[in-house]
Amino acid sequence: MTYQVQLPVYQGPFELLLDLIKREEVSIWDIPIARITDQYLEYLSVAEVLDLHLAADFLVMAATLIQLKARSLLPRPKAPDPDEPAEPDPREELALRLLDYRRYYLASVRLGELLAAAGRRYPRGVPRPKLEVHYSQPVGSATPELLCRLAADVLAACREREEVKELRRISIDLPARMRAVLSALAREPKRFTDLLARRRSRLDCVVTLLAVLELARKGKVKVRQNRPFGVIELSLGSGDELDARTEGQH
Amino acid sequence: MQELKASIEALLFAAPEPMSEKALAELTGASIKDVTAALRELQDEYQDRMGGFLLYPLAGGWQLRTREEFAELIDKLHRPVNNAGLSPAALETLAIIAYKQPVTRAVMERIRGVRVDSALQSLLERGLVEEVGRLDEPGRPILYGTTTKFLIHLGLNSLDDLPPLPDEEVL
Repeated sequence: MTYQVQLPVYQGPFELLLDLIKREEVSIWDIPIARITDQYLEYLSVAEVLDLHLAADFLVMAATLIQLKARSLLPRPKAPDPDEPAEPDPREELALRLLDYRRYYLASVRLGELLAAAGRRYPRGVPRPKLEVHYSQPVGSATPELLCRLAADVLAACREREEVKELRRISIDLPARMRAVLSALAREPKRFTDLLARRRSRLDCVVTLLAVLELARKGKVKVRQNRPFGVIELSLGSGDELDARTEGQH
Repeated sequence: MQELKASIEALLFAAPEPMSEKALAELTGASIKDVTAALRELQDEYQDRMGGFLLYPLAGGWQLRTREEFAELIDKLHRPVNNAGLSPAALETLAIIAYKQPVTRAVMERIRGVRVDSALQSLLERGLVEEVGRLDEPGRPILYGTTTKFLIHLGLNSLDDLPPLPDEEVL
């Protein structure tokens, strides 16, 4: 048979200490440190304080109490120098803090009563009658048509993605790709995305980009983009003057 | 005066928050002195009438509120909230801020002997306290104080109406 003991829940170490002092019916100015410390530790050992921070705060007070207890056990000098001011009782600081906490604890109870009393007087809870509906604009200036087009593009790309059945090492020849780009452009100017249209693998796209960049560097392809993120237009370059120079450097 | 009283009554009836005498004077175009006199008369009339509501001074202004006697009746209409949902820990922290403001978190933790992060957070979220500045000390710790909402929710006209802090010789 197990017994379930309902332990009081304390907001913090001061509340626990005050409760122990009250139960022992001792003066806050003359706390029997040894007895109170034992009871304090007993509570901690039984209560499982789940909040780690709170548990730490309880332990700090336990350490303080043990320190006080240790000090009270040490013998004091029998005849203190009458000229020296008497050493203050180390328990005094604890008592002062306990009293200070007690004042605010009592004040908090009063504030709780005020809250409850004020809550018993209801204000009119009627807001201004409203008809307008407010929409936020999370998409900025985007129109439904634009969103529709973007969605269609994304969905189309998803559908066409090939299923991977076998992993092979793919090697793509950069010079061959450059020749392919040139021959494609020889027929007509193209957009960069046109060159990628049937090339789905990432490596393929990268090699095509490199081919275009290399051809542009050599002046064999002209690249135009009117605005950031706009369409990239490609056409055959006019001359080989750059080509001649770079070839010479190699 | 009858006209002014009716205007003020209409404003108080429609206002969601307590109305200050200054605001009432600006809105009605009357002097603050006349507004104050009209408010007193209204307060007396409601008191004499023994109706469902009274005019209360609140947070430096005035607000129509139901008489306390009808709290249980209205609780059947609205679900009541105890202590505005504040935990004892939050209430203790609120008491320290109310009486010691402006006050730093370190002072609250020193008095309570525990960390006050979550208690302070719940007070901030409810708008009962706010940051009111920084202490001119190393680390420039944040100072906290109570808000107008605090006064409204405790039914106080000003911080001077807080009940006095209990004496030290209470134990």
